[in-house]
Amino acid sequence: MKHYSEEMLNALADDEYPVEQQVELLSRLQSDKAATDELCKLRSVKQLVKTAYQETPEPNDKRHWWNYRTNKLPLFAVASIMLAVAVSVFLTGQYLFQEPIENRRLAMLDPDGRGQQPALGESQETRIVLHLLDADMQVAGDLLDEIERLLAEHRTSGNSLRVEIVAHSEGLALLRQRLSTHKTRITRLANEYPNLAFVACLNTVRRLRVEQGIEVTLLPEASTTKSGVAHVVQRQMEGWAYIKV
Amino acid sequence: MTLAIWRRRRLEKILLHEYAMLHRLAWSWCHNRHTADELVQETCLLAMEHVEQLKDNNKARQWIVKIMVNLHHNRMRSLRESVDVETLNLASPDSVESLALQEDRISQIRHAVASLKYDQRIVLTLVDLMGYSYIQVAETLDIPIGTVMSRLTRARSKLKDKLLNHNAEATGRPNLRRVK
Repeated sequence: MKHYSEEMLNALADDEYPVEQQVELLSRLQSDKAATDELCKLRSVKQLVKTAYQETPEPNDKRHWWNYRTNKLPLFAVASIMLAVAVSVFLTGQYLFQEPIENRRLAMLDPDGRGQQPALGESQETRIVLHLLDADMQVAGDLLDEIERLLAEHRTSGNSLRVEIVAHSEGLALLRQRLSTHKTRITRLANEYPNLAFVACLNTVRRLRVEQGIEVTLLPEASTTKSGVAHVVQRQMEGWAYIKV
Repeated sequence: MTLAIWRRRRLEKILLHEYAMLHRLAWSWCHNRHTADELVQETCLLAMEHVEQLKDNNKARQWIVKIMVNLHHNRMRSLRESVDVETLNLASPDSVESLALQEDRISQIRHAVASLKYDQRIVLTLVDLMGYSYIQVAETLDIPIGTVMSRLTRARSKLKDKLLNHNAEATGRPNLRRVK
């Protein structure tokens, strides 16, 4: 096998050469038994490796990539961001609270008002979309506490506010009949605040059905969107404030 | 729809489509399901965060694999890789109905691949499992094509010794049967 290097034989096994050159080299190889045997072995090794990895462990469904880095945003951080929205609205001349700013609990978290600019629609309505990816009912409960407080304060001040909670991936648990521990509260909030919407991701519903055989029954208060991720992205493009929970 | 949203949606579709392939490749590197899960998910997340860097959609797959290679490389560097091959779970996942001999062979092959040096294993899996050309491997790993060829040659030489020569000695008969 003097005229054929290992690299050349590997390149032949991998069809690296242009067709014409491949044909010519293979023709010349026929007169060299050792080189031909070596080429066969290399092709066998290649095929063995491919075969050995044809079936590998399935990915873990519960940790799908878009849920991998669920930001378990501490609720005080959620409150801070929402406060930043509220404080910014205040600083632009719209009063949210009746009390002096130094006494306002939420304002203490962002005293300089360096939070995000509020997502104000054309009608000066504040709009917030919350992207819920966490199945933890404690987290969901804390979130509902903050949402309810914010909705009440806006109602008192007379300022317009729209809130959407988009439940996606494991966060869908909040809107599932079988899993949600906040069903009664969601019913009450939905009835009391027409400006609050609960949105369920249909891609997650479909994935549960197809991959785990689970037929999801959503709460009656939940509206649906084809893709939770696409929905929140669309909202962001429309100027809504985005908070990931 | 803005260009940014279109790019994200398109990349999301590509990632979902390629997810199983990425996981297979990651598993061939880690031989650990959870590590492979994390590596693929980290890759997808990083890709989505930097979607604006993907200029040519025809090379999206290669771009994603490059991200995964870099992530795995950084992880291996921080762990100062010395994989204890004996602790890896290399068994075929659906072993219930498999013949014992077939199972042993698959484990043997995976064991041999896992025992390769990191650089050789990466090049070998990109060529054999992903079907990459040498040029694609060179572009993905940012190394000269000559380095690709030398690493691949050394990898296959070791596998040949372990899987073919060793097996022939053990059974007393050659592995290859010439068919005229």
